[in-house]
Order: sequence, then C-alpha cells, then structure tokens
Amino acid sequence: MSEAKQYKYIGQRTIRPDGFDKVTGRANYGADLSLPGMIWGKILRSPHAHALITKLDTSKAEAHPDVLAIARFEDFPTVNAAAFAEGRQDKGLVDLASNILADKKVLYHGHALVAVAARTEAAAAQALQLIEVEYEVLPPVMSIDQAISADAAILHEDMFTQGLAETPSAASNIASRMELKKGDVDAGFAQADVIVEREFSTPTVHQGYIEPHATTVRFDENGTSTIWCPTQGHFDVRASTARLLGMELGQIKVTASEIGGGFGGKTTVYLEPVALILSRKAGRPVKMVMTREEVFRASGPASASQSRIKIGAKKDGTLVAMQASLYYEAGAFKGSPMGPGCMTVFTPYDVENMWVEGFDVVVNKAKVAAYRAPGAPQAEFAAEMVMNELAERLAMDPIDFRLQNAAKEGTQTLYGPKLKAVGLVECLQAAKTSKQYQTALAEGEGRGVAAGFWFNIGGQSSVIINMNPDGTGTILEGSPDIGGSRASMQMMAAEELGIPLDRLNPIVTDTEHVAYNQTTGGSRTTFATGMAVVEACQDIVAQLKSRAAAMWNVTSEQVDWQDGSAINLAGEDKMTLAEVCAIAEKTGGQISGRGNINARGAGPSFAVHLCDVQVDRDTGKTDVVRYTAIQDAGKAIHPGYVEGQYQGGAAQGIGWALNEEYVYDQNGIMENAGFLDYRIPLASDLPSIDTIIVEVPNSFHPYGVRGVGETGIVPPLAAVGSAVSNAIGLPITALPCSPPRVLKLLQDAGQ
Amino acid sequence: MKTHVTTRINDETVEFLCEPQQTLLHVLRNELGLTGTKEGCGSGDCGACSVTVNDRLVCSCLVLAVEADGAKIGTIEGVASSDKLHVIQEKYLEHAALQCGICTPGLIVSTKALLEENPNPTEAEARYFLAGNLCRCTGYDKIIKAVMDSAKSLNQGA
Amino acid sequence: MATLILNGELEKLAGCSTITISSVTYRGFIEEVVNQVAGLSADRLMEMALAIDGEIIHEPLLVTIPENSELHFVFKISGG
Repeated sequence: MSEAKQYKYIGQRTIRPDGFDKVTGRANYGADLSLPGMIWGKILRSPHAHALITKLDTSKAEAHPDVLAIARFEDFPTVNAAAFAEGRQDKGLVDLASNILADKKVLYHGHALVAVAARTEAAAAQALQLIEVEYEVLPPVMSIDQAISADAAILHEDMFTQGLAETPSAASNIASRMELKKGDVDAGFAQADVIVEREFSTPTVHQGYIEPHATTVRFDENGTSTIWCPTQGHFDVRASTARLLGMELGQIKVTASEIGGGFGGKTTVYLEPVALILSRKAGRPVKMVMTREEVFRASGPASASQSRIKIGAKKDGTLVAMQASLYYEAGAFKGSPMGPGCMTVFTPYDVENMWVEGFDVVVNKAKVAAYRAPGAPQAEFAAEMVMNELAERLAMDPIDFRLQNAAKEGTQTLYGPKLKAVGLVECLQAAKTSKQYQTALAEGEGRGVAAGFWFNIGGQSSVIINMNPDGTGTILEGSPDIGGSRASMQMMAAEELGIPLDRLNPIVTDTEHVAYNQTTGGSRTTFATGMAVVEACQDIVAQLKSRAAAMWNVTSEQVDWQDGSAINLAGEDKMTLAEVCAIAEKTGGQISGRGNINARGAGPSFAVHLCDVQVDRDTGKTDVVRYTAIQDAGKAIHPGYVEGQYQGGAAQGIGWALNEEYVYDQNGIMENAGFLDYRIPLASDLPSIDTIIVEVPNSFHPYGVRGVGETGIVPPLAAVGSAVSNAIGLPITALPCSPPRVLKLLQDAGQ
Repeated sequence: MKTHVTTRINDETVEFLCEPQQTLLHVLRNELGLTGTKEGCGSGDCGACSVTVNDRLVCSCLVLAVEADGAKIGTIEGVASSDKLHVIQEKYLEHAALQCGICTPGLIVSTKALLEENPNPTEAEARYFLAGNLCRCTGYDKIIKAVMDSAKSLNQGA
Repeated sequence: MATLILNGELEKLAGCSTITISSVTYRGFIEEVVNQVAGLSADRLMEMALAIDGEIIHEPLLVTIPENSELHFVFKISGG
C-alpha cells in the first residue's frame, strides 16, 4: 500500500449509517423484542458462595397455574456424567453447562440453579419462591491466597494442576501454570545496578456494559429455533447452544440485536440455551432479561490478580532482566486470561533476559469473562509501576527510559515471534511532545506515564455484497457492531468500489445469510471483516469489468476499473458502476461479491497514556485533571470512532484504577451489586480525554489497519496509579486507589 | 386490579391499564411499545430510562405508571420531528458521541432538558447535569463536545 | 530449510530450543517436529497458532513454509 495515497472516504469523519436509529430510539437492543404469545423466564440463584445442593424440589413451582416450563442442569442432554466419563465430552462444555445451570454444587453467590417460565414476569418471580432447595454450605474461597493455601476448600475435586513438571496427585484450586522465558534472568540481574521488586494486586471488576444480558427465543414445532440476543458473536451463541442442547447448527438461527456494550463480557452464553429449553417445553416464545444485580453477580467479571515483578537496569538506563509471577482468579471455573497476561506483560520492552510464570486459580466468584485486552491490564499495570519506580531511581525521564528500551521492528518477543513494524517508539515520541507533557504540573499534582501492548487478532469473517440494478448495494456482514464498525465497512467498500457512501447499506445479518463469522473481539472487526469487505469488493469489480468487457466486445484484461467506472483500454468507452449494474440482466444476471476469509497478519498495537491527578489529602479522593491517550492505529479508517475507542478504554481503565472493585462480605456475597455502589466513571468524574492517533501501517491489511479496541485499557491502570503515587509521594501497590485506601496510605505514612 | 391511566406522551393522548406497582418505564416499554427508553439498572443509577414528566427530567424506572395520569410525558421518540432530527441528535452523530448507543436515548433526553433549563452551560455544568447518565463506551468527551456544539447551534438559530 | 524456535513449556518438553525443518507443508512440518522430538505431540502442536517470520496464523493448515523462515508456536489469543 502506498502511504501517500489520497483516499476519498478512508480517514474521513462520516456519519455512521446505523446512527439515525440510535439517536431516535428506533434501534432494537436485546430486551426490545416481544413476540406474540411470549412468556417470561426467570432464574433462581444460589444464596451461598460455595455449597453442595442436597435437595432441589421444583414440584410446587410446577404446580403454579401460570408456570409453563422449568429448566435444570439435567436438560442439557450432551453433558451428562456418562458422556463425560466416556470421554465423549470435553470439560469446557461441562463447565459452560454447569455455569449456566449448576449441577450438584453451587460455586458462587448468584450461581444459577433452576429457570422457570411463566405467563407473566410477576408469576415467574413468584414461582421461584416456591422452589425448595437445601444446601450443605462449604467454606467460600474468595482470594488467590486462600485458594492456594494448603488447607483451602477445593472447588473441583477432579481438577489437577496442569503444566507442572510432575503430574500432581492431589486436586488443587490452581487449574494450570505456564512459564515463558528467554535468555537467562539470573545472569541478567547480576549485571544490574538497580533492581526493583514489588508485589501488586488488582480487584475483581466488571465490564459494566449498560445493557443487561437479555434474550427472546422461539422454538418451533419443526425442531428449529430462533434466538434474538445482544452478543458480540451470534455464530458462537449458535455453536454453544447447539452443542449444549445436541442440536444441529442449521436448526438454530441467531439474530444479533443491537448490542448495548460488551467489552468482552458478551462473548459467552448465559440465558440463550436456558430460554431455548423453556421455549421448547412450553411451546411458547420465552423472553429473559437479567437485572443489573444479576449482571454483577453472575456475568463476566474480569480477573482479580496478584503479581510479583522484578526488573533490573544498568545505571545508563539499559534494562537487563525482567521477571514476573502472575496469579489470576478464574472465578468458579478454570480459564482466566493468565496466558495472554504472561505473553503481554513485558512486550513493550526489548530486553534479552525475561522469565514469566502464570497461574490460573479458581475461587468462589462468578466465572470470569473476557474484558478488553483480557489479562493484559493486570499484568502490565504491575510491570509499568515498576518501570516508573526504576526511572525515578535512575533519575531518568520515564519516557526517555522507555524509549531507550522500547520494542521495535525485529524485537524478539517473549511469546514467540519477532515483531514486525510497530508504533511504540512513535507513541512515546508523540507523548513526549504532547501538549500535556509540555504542561507543568500545578502544586500538589502528580503525573504518571505508562505504555501498553495488545496483540489484536484476525480470524474468520464472511461478507457478501449484493448490488442492485441501480448501482446501490447491501453489505451483508456477520460481525456485531459494538462501536461503529458498520461505518468503517461502508467506508472501505465505498473506497474500493469508488461510489458514494450512501449507495451502500451495511447490515449485520443473522446466522443464515452469511457464512460463519468469529465473535467481535480481539479488536478484529475493522481489520478482519474489513479485509473480507475489501475482498468482496474486488470480487464485484472483477465481475463489473467482465460485464463491461462483454458490452464492449473486448476481454476483461482490456478493462480497467478507475474511480467507480469501467474504462475500455482498447477504446474510448467508459461505464459507471451504476451503468454496469443496470445491464447485469443482459450480461449474466445480478452481481454479488463474496469475501470469506480467515484473516492473518493482525497488527500488534502499542499505546502510551499520560495522566495528571490532584489528590485531596483530607478525603483521599483523586481527580484526574489531564489525560492523553496515544495509540498506534495502523490506519484510522474513521478517526472519530478510533478516538472513541482510545477514550473509552482510558475511561474504563481510570475507573479500574480509582474506584471500581467487587466488595465481598465474609460469606462471599458481593455487597455492591449495583451502579450506585459499584461506581463507574461519570461525566463529572472525568476531564476531556485528549487523543493522538499514531499511524504505523500494518503491512498485512489493504489500508494498514491494526485493531484499536482493546489496547487503550492497558496503560491507564499504571498511568493513574503512578500519578497518584507521584502526587502523594508514596508507593501504590494495590488498586483501586479509592478514597479510603489513599487516605489510609496517607495516615499510615503519618501525613 | 388494574388502574386506568390517561396521559399525554410526546403530544399525543394515550390511555393504558396498569398494575399499581408497575413503573412508567415498564409500561412505556412493555405495554406501549416505546422501547427507545432503555432499562440499564432499574434503580435510578444509570439514566438510560430518562424521560420528562411535566418537563422535569426523571428516571422512568423510579416513577409509577399511575403517576403519569394527567401528566405530560416526553420520551426519545418525541425528540425528532416527523421528517427531521433535532439539532442535538444531529450533533451526537456528527461528533461520534455514541458507540454502542444504549445510553444515547437517555442522554439525548437529558441533554434536551439541560439546554432548555440552561441554554449556555459551561462544560463543567454540562458534565454535572449529565452525571446521572452513565456511558461506558465513550469516556464522555465526545458527548460533552456534542452538547456544547448543540448549545451553540441552538443559540445561533434562536 | 526453516528454523522452529521453541520457548517456555514446549522447550522444556522438547529438551531443545531450535529445530531445523525442511518441509514446506504444514502437515509435513508437524510430522517432522514430532519425529525429531519425543516430548511433543501432534495434537498439542496443532492446537496452537503458528507464527512465520512474525506473522501469526491461527489456522496454518494450508500454509507453505518459506525458505529460511523463522517459526514459532504461539498460544491462540481471543480477546475481549
């Protein structure tokens, strides 16, 4: 690709095509669909964090006149014990089923047990109270320290730590351990003039999407079902539901409604299979909507973490060794993002000697779900805090210190390959010259700098573009649009075809109109689905050229495509796209383009954030006074929505750093399951978040795109943490820096 | 025992029957099909269900449906005129002030209430007035820019 | 010839950090690795993504392995 190329649409701030429905209230989200004859489903949840179910009797609920169906774990036909024992079923599916409806044990407060469908919402709620459950309460395991202690209650008697040199003989709450290394850290530390080693912790936090999980499902008499739900990946909702219920993919149609935020939390299933069971039994469409409390208690929080980081540097600022031990809470079932945590923790730095170990630990909390760059914020928080402390010890500017050691093209990563062209150095340079970094701090303010890295992914995307006889067209894609991606698809297609934006209508279709699409996640959509759109457009252009060639009685090779028109290289003729579409009838039928790809070459993305804070020493409250997010986009297709991703990631990271945490009582019950007490940032909490888009193109994408959705949540934890530390002159080792914690730090230090 | 309620919603007279414990939000969404008003929490913390009752901005999840009797209700569905977006809606689009869009109806209703009460807000005033409307996607920067630009536009038009 | 570089757990299991590969197909490559190193299983390796000269490929079945390339097995990443 040519960097000098002038684009017509790429890089413009266009109006998103789905925007009109969203500003008028017409857009339909998860809870907005109602069907004739629809009934309501509700879920009974565990009042204990850890307990054996000794009795579960639904007979009184079943006798309720308005109750039409009940669903229990036994209704998952494919995950019964026999199938598992015979090796016919994988543990992941059993865990998924047992999380959706508990089997013999409840593993967290709020764990779903039984679902009821009744004629009205109120009747369903009444019926839940008629279900008789008895428990043998077990001690809750609520932290990594508790989980790995010798006398810990064991959550899963069949879980033995994987990844150890010798296969363990006793069950453990540590699901797995992994280790990555390069060079020799001991030799590296031996060369160091300064070594900083510290331990850190981060709390359980929630993605905090404003729209609760919801679904409406209709099972038809012919054995097929339709599911309507807000999800980041309706093809994967279909796959999970089919596997859990022993159905064929072709028997389930999933329509992704508009989605009211996900951030990784809407990449799994909670309600959909349950509603399908209820609908099948009741013979009626079933709607289920989680309350906000249920969302907090029983849907995807992100892992709490504990970590120990040790970094050594020479006096001149050269890093010589980096070492990390990272523990991640997985919640009730294994599968924390410990792996990506280990792989990302030191990636911003080009250092010869690294050693990282990670542990995936189960505790009696809701099973974690992905949250924006899953695993990276926790790990890189710890690493970046130590980097800043080292810079201070070395009396170096923290940006210069990072520049001296920054990863660049050719850097050997800890997780495997050498990096291709990346934009960390450019981000650091932009940070250095930014308006904020040039602004002197006022009395009492503190400043923090942090870098962040995330891989980004490619994967499967399938797109069909159908052209109409008048030259307008419809882009059928299958990637749920969570932050404006329809706009970027429309822009890329208009650029490729050379026609005005408004001639193309991008639609996120259901699972029946395009082939499989991987879930919207991993910052993949504008990259991978964008590539599929480009491929579909190229398919269309090839057809347009051959149609024009047929009209002109020349070969396709004699036709060029320029700026939306076919040009006859053998003559003077020219036909616009609309003119060629108009003769499609005569030249072989209507024109569709297809792009079914498994995209590779996703471009890793680096970011650097600057945070200035003011801390009130009387209350411990921190105010962010200035903030700048700088990130490499590769190429910003729609700069407005790229900036929005940077700002949104920064805001979530600021919340994580300053205020957000799950607070549990001694019985393992979350005490702040609502937006009043789990306080995400408000408009009045934040300053204007400045952004700088760095563009180091990704050579694998036709327009140079890297993913931009996730990296922005990685740096804020340490940028904010270091700013608070700088403001109060004390080390910060635990998040959040909430007022009571900061006040206690100040009091303990005698200030 | 259901109660008969007569109200005006977006300048149209509407009648409905409701249970005494039903919220205005529930009736708008589930009985009247006005699903532009969203439910994010049901406890008055997120502002996704913002509407006006007699020109006062409220969370409709905290208002009983029976309280709508004889009142004048304004929802997101009434913000645009039949063929044209309201300036505030245009500015939200121009400034890319929405990502997922679930908070957008509530924010637009709140922005309209703000600018009717205070046509020239400072940025700080706008941030505090809209502090009852949670947005998890945007970090609020583009929302505030859209609000300030809407104020400017409306004032120039006046 | 291409060079496979092993890291972390794979390196431990294999007992070496580099393996020289002559196959140009993915299947041939996997066979070669498993034949050379007793500690690695084909199933396990084929669950991982393959990076060829820094380009991470999640489904490498159909790739051609370029002459003098550097190969790494990488854990598959999903994201949020």
